[in-house]
Amino acid sequence: MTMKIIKTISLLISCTFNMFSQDDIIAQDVRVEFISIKQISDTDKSKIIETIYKKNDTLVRLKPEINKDDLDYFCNCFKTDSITRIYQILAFTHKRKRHDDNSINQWNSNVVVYFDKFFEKKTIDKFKLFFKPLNKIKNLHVSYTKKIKDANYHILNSKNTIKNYENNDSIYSESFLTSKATYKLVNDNNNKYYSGKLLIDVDSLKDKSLILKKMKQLFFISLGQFQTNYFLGTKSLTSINYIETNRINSFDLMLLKLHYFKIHDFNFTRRKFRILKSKLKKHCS
Amino acid sequence: MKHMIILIILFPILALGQNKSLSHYKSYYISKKQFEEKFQKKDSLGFIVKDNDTLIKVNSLKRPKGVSVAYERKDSTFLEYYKKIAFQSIHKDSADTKPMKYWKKTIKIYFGKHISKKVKNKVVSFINEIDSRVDSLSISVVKKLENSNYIIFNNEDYQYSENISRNKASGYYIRWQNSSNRIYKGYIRINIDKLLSEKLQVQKIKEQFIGSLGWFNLSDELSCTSYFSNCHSDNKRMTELDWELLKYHYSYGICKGTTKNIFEEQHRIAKEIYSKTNHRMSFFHPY
Repeated sequence: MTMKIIKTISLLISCTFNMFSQDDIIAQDVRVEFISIKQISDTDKSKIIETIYKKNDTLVRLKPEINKDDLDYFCNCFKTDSITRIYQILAFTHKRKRHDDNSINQWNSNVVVYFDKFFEKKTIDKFKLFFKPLNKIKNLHVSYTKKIKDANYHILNSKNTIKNYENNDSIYSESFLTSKATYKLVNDNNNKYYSGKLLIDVDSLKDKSLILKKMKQLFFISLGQFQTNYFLGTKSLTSINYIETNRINSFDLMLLKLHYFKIHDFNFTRRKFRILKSKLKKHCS
Repeated sequence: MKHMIILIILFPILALGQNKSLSHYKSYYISKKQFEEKFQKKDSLGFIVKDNDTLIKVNSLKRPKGVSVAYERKDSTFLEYYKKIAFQSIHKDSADTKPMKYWKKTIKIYFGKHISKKVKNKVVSFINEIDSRVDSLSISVVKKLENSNYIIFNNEDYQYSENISRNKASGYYIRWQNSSNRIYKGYIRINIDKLLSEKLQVQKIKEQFIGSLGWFNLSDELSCTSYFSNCHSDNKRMTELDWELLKYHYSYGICKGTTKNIFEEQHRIAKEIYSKTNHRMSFFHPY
C-alpha cells in the first residue's frame, strides 16, 4: 500500500515536471531544426516528433525540451520582483499597436568592438575594465579587436553629425546623453541586432570628460535598446541623470542577465514575459 | 511550351485508360491548335472530344528538343516545408500562389571592384560548393562584366541596379521571363557602412545568393542557422534540410515554373499512376 502511494506521488511529480516542459512557453517557442537520425542517441529516438525520409538518410526533429540546469538559471534570473518589474518598463521597446505585443531587442551575434584610433588609450582601457563583468552574462559575448574589418561594432569619432539634443520644449546641454553622441544598430526581421556604430562628436564636445560617460551609457543601452529614464536615480546606465562610476552597477548587470537569459527564437513580447514569469513563480518556489 | 508539358503528363493517363498494352502501341493526343501548327492533315489518326476540347490522335509526338525525367518521389513532410519556401503567395487569402522561379542558364557572376578579395574568395568557395552539389544548377565566376548575368556589388561600387533599396544592409534583385518563370538576371547589393565586418559581408552575400536562386520565402519557423530562415545567426550553414530544399528546387523530376496548385496536382497524379501501375511518370523538359 505504502509503495503504491509512493509510486502515485512520484508519478504525479513526474507528470507535473513533464507538463511544465510540454506547456512551457520557452520550451515550445523554438524554431524547427532537423538533424540526421545518425546523430542522435537511442534514448533521444523517443523524442522524435517529425521525420523526413531521404534516399540515404532520415532527418528527424526532436521535441523541444528545457533541461533542469536552464530552468534553474531562468529561476535565478527572474527571482527578484523589483528587477522584473522595472525590466518590463525598460526592455519592451519594440513598439506594436497593442501594449502587450511590444517586444524586446537582443544581439544574437557576438559583439566585436573596434575603437576609432582617435580615442585615447586610457579611455579605451577604462571602458574595457568597466564592462569586464559582462563576460559573466550568459548568451552575451563582447570582445575587442584592433582590426576594423573584424569588428561588427564600431565606436567612432564622428564630426559634424550630431548637435545638442532638442525636443519641442527645450534644447539640452552637451552633457545630455544623446547630445553630440548617438548609436545606430542593424537588425534582422526578428528584432535581433548583428551590427552597430556608436558615434561621438569628440571635437565639438567642450567637456572631454563626457566622452567616456557617453560611451559607457550608449554602449550599454545599445545592448538591448533599453528605455532611458529619470526614475532610476544616478547609478543606472539607463538613467538620464547617471553619474559616472568606475564599476558597473549590480542592478544594470542583473538587467542584462535577465535580458539575455535566453536568445529568443521569436519575438519575445510583454505578454510572453508575463506568462513565463507567472509559470516560473510556481515552479521555482 | 507549357501546354506541351501538361499534355505529356496527361497522356499516360489517357492511354492507360484506353489501352492496357501500352508498351506495344503508343499513340498521342494533342490539341487542335498544336496539330495545326506542327502536323499535316494526313498525320491525323482520329480524334476524341474531352471536356469540350477536340484532341487529335497522332502516331508520334513532335517534341521540341529536351529531356524526359522520371518523377521524383518526396516525403510529404518535406514537401510541406518546400512549398512554404518555393511558392510566393499572391495575397494572404489566395488559394493558389505565384509560380516558382528558377535558373536554367548558367549563373555567371561578376564581382564589383570594391568587394574585398577576402570576401570574394569566401563567397566563391560557397558558390563552388553549391555548383558541385546541386544538379541542374550551374554557377561560374567571370572576370568581365559583359560576360555576366549576375552582379555582386557594394555601396562603394558603381550601382549596377537601382532596384535594391539603399537603406537596406543587403538585398537582391532578380528578373525572370514571365512565360517560363526562368530567372535570367541577378544582382546582390551589400552596404558596407552597415555590414561592418568582412564576416558579415560574406554571410549576407551568401544569404542573398540563396534567396535569389528561387525567389524563396524566408521561413519564420526554421532555425536561424538555416539559410532559408528569416533571422540572423552567426552560425549560418547549409543544413541537411537546406541542401534537400535547394536540390529539390532544381530537380527535374517534377515540372518547373508552376504554381503550388499545379505542383500539388502533379504529385497527386504521379503518385496515383505509380500506385495503380507501378510505373513512374516522366516529365518532359524542353531545352
